Amino acid sequence: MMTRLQSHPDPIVQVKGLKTYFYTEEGVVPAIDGVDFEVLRGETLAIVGESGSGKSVTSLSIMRLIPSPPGKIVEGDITFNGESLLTKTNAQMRQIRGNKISMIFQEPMTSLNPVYRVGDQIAESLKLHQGMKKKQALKEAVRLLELVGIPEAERRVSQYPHELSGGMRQRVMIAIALACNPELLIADEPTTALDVTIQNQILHLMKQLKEKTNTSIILITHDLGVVAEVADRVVVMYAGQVVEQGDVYTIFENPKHPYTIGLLESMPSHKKRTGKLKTIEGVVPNPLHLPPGCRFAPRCEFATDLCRSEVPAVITVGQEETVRCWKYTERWEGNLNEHSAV
Amino acid sequence: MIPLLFIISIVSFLLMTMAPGDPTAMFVNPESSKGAEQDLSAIRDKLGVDKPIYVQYAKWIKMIVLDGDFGYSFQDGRPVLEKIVERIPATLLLMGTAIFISFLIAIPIGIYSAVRQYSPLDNTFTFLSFLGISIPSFFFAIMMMLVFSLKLGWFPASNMRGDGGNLPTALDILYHLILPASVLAFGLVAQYSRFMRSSMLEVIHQDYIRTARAKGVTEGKVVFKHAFRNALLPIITLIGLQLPHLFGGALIIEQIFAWPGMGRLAIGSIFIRDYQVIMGVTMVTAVLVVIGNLLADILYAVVDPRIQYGKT
Amino acid sequence: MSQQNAVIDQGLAAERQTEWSQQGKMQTRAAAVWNRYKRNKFAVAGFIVFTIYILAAIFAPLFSQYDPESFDIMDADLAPSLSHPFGTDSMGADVFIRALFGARISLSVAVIATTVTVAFGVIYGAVSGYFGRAVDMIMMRIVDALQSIPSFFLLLIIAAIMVPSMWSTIIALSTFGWLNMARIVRGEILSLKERDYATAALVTGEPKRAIIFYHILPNAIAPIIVIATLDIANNIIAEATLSFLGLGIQPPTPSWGNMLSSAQELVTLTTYPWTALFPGLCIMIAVLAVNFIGDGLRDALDPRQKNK
Repeated sequence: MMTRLQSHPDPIVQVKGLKTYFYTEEGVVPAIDGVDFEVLRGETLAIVGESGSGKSVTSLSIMRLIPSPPGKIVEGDITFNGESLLTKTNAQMRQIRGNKISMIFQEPMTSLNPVYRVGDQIAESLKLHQGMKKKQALKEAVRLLELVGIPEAERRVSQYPHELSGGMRQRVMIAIALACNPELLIADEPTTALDVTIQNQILHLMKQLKEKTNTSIILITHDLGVVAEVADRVVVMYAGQVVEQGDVYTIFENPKHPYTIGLLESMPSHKKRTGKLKTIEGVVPNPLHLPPGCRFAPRCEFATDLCRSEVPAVITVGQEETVRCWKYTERWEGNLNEHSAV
Repeated sequence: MIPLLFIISIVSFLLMTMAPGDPTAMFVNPESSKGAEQDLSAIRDKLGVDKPIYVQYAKWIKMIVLDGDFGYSFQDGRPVLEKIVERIPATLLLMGTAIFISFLIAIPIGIYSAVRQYSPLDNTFTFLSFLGISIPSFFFAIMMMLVFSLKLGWFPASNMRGDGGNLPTALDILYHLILPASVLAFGLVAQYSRFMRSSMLEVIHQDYIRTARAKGVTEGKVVFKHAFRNALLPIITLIGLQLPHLFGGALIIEQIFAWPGMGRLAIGSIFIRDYQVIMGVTMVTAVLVVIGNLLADILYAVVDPRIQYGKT
Repeated sequence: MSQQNAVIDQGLAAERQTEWSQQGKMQTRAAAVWNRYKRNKFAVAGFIVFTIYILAAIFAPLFSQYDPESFDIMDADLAPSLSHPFGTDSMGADVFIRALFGARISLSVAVIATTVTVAFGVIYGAVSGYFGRAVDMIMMRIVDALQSIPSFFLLLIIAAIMVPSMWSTIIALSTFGWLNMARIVRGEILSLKERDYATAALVTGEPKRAIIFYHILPNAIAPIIVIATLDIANNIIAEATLSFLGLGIQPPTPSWGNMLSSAQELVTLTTYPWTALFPGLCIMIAVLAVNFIGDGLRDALDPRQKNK
């Protein structure tokens, strides 16, 4: 009894039943184990989860940049503008990367090549995908640096990465990502490594640029504060699976999955500063020894024998939300609490 | 750099004082027949043999630094420095050619091995490099000489120049150079290809390589443009550090192939206990090593924009 | 030198007292190391080959009726055959049996010299690394200086100052052979002394010497073992080279290196290549075996170091 989320007419990205496994010496790690979601045109989709939940592997799968070996996409499909990315040749994928889909990474300090000038690193994409000559590409690089709010762009363009601060480097990374006007931008924890004030600047910049260019964004983060600020819809991942997805208001106002509830309760909020912060007990399960039933069951306060023995299916609740939890099925016999919406 | 040479000079001096025989005799020109006695007492005074050892050292180092005087060769009475200087080009030619050949071979091997880590060919290269560092260079040299000069007769077995052949000088030297330089390069290829492999492996897992891939850059450009230059950086330093070993390796090759360089001079001097020449070669080699490391530092600064002192 | 060894022994004994290496953990750690070592086929092969070498060296006299130092000019320069598997040399001695006895000399020299250099290098590096600052600066400058003189030059000079013999060879190999070990140990100590247990020991007021040998050094044991193994390989080659040049072991005592000396004459080399080939192969295979052991130990003792 698998109820899938109803497809939107024209999503930019569709991930269907994706499984990406890593074949290590210790055994097979199912980093992504049957993930479904869509990215709609012009929206910002946030993928949320703890480290090890598979959110970064998801983004690298879309880019087809999973290091192989040991990684491999073993099942499912990823479509971009209706075309499967998994059947494309490497050459075709290179036409897409940095051009139609581009990516920003977590570590601005190490994501730029230390021996080349930032201008050349931006120009590389332009020369590659837009057939620009070097001079023209460098001129465009200056414009892009201005666009991402780097002062004295003329001077900065001929500097090396080590001469720039972390925030500046992340702006350069954004400039590289936006160089070819991508239809989809994947930002993998773009602000995690930065100071709080710089984080806000970068988020603000991304929001601003999205409004200007109408690029769709996949924002990968573990920070719900960031999600609340920029996302339209949210996908919550746990141990390689999507446990809940829905629009940002529903997720924040009426979360369904006990994991999502836990995440929200462990988030510091200025509204209710009184109570103690709650934490989710336990740790993410070892991917080599996953629990037989629901993967969250060992940490779940509502878990029953059913949860511990049988894998829950993804079910649709409300209008456009899905949740992977036994609580919202007719087989549930445990306690219902105030969060239940069925 | 200066303190380094200072310590080297102390060690050389101590070793020299340990050598049997009268140290003053080293500084007398045995060829100058007239007034040898005067010379000897003048030298005794100059060296201060009756003074404490640190005074002796001070006087000795002063002679070297201020007068460039390393004494005279016991063998033929010529100034030591002169004998050494005329041998330097041959050694540098041999070493330079060996480094060049080994780079030409080791860098592609290292890159391939890193990009195709654990492939059959990488495993083969790994095994061969173990073989390369495990063969004593003198044994390998002898075997190569046996095969390529004595059996096949392709290359001359010894010396730097032929006896009046009809080849122009440069070609003649090249002809004599190929075998010893290749033998010396063999050991280097084994080491450098391992350095290059591990350096490349380190770089290839860096975030900026992922960035390049995410830009849609071709795999070839990822390796040769984005990874290569970064991987080369530690190699430059390593080769500077390996220089002393290279001099040691060249010494054995020079001895076996009768290559008229500093190493052959040093070994020849050891057999006739010509200590002043040995000390001279040791000091000069140490200076060359220090200069080599300095060059490596400068080269590093040129390749790595993060180092600023090279530009100022 | 025995004093230094005693200090090292103390250090090793202290290993048992440190937290991580209590009896039970010690066994599991050794088992884990052995498990990882086993996976490296070359390392296992190297171990087997080297064991065979050691046994051959110990039981050399049982292998052949010939005396390694008996020369029968009538039997000179015989090609390899059933009665002389490696042939005979220009003096009429059996090359195989000389190679066997050569193993005794060559391996003993390498192992003794390595023991000395490990002891000295470890102490030097530990002292330099632990005291740091000016002491470290001066001690490491000395190492830098000595390392910028080609080590083989130093070897030659030392060998030339003394009358060549087995002990002069060992002294020559030991005198400057400790530099690399000192540098590595110093680096390890520098990083280890910042860790909590060293600080904790310092706070409890233990003397510095005790901190170095009881708390820090045992944790640096992995790189020490690996470098020591590779030093054995280097010393086998260095001894062979010295003896080949006539500055090491002197004939008639056989060593692998001096067995190749005669091959320096081109006539001998072309006409009787086996006199050079077999001793040369003996050296090469021994060194290869030790290098494989070293590589296997590196991966087994410190899995993080893999691929480097």
